[in-house]
Amino acid sequence: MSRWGREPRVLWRRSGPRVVLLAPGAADLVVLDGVGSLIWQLLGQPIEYEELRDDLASHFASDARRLEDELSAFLRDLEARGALVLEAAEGP
Amino acid sequence: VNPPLERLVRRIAAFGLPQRVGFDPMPTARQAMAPVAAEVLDDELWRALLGTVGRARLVGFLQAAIDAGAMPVTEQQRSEAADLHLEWCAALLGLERALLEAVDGLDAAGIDVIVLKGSAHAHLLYPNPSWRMFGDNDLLIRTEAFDDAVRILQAAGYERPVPQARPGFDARFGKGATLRRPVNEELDLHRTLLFGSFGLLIDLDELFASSVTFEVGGRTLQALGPETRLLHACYHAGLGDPIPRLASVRDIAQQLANGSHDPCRVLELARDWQSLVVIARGLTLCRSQLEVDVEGPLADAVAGYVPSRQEWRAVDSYVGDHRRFARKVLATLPYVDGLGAKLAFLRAAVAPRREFAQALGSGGTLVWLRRGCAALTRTRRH
Repeated sequence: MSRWGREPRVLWRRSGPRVVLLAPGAADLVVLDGVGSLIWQLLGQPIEYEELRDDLASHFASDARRLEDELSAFLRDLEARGALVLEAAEGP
Repeated sequence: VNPPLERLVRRIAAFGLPQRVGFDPMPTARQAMAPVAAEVLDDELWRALLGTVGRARLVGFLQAAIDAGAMPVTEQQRSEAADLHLEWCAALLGLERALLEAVDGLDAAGIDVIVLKGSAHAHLLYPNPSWRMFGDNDLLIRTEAFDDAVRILQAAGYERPVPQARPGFDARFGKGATLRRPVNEELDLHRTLLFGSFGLLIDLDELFASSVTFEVGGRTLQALGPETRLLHACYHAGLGDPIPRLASVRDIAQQLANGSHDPCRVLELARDWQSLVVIARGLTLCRSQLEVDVEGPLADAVAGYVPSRQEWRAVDSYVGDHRRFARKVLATLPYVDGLGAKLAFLRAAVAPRREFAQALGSGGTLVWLRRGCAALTRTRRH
């Protein structure tokens, strides 16, 4: 299984309900609002996709499957911006 | 002067501190949530407050107070404060990127670097680094590496607007150099913590020997240890400006509240560096500016401290009514060791290179000399 985590070199600050990020080498800042900043918080430790999805679903008392598309797109977008990494988990 | 505004700004600067610092361990959650204001501010006072906390670099404390429910605000005010804080945070990230680039460049050349104030205080002192705003980066390096460090940073695009007063002045007597890159990016390169008498008394090896680490963007950086960091905070707030920034005073109070320092070691260093008077001033500022009670071993040790005439003159040259460079030079002279060094120091101060005098707006060496004499004459009259 692989796990999502923050790119360790990302510079970031929490600002009220938002999080502002500066990924290594990036020219632009990324500002995460509400749900995005909650996901950033949940990514404090590398986490498997399914666990992240379920945590988020329980937070919003929502059906996990309904979050899938948006969550996947969000993670891929931050990965493309250099703010997240998808790492292979160590085997048993 | 606007008393309600001034009172509010002080409360914001003290937000999250316990009422007593220097004795208790970390504040309890209840103490930390002491309200800043009882009710929502009217528009006029709110506008004035927002402008003042921005200039005073207290935006992080305002945001923390709002987040904690300790500062009642309208939705519009909440949004304005959040936008201002976000703007500051964005600028801080740019500064931290520049910090990492500078440290990497110096590190690659084998130069030891300690990060002073700014980012180091934000990450080491405060519950959340977004509480502590800063406007530049400050790096401390060893004296013998100073010239190399300036060259490396110049190669990285920094310029030095004010050259050294005379060849060799920086390494023997100076505090350091201010370097700038476009887009208001400033980096203060230090070889000691401050210019003048107190700067010359600091054991620079101790600053490196007792350093600690912290992380920024996955990179491990060096910062001053808790004891030297507290002393530096006292020097900075106590001798930097006659009326210090509240954020600088807060750094002292925050360090005292954290309690990570060994008070006995702080006192030992302060005695060696003849800076008990500076600690006394720093603690007094915490009481008068932030309205917190300062207690504990440090407060006991400096209570009723009476500075010698020479110490008084030294402090006065930094923050007295008639402080001038010329006056600071005279107050520093007794602290420069040896006749040859005293002469070299005086020569550089009295007759610096033309480029130095011009960069400081004096036109040339003669104008510099005339202004210095005038400043001393005014001082003697007073």
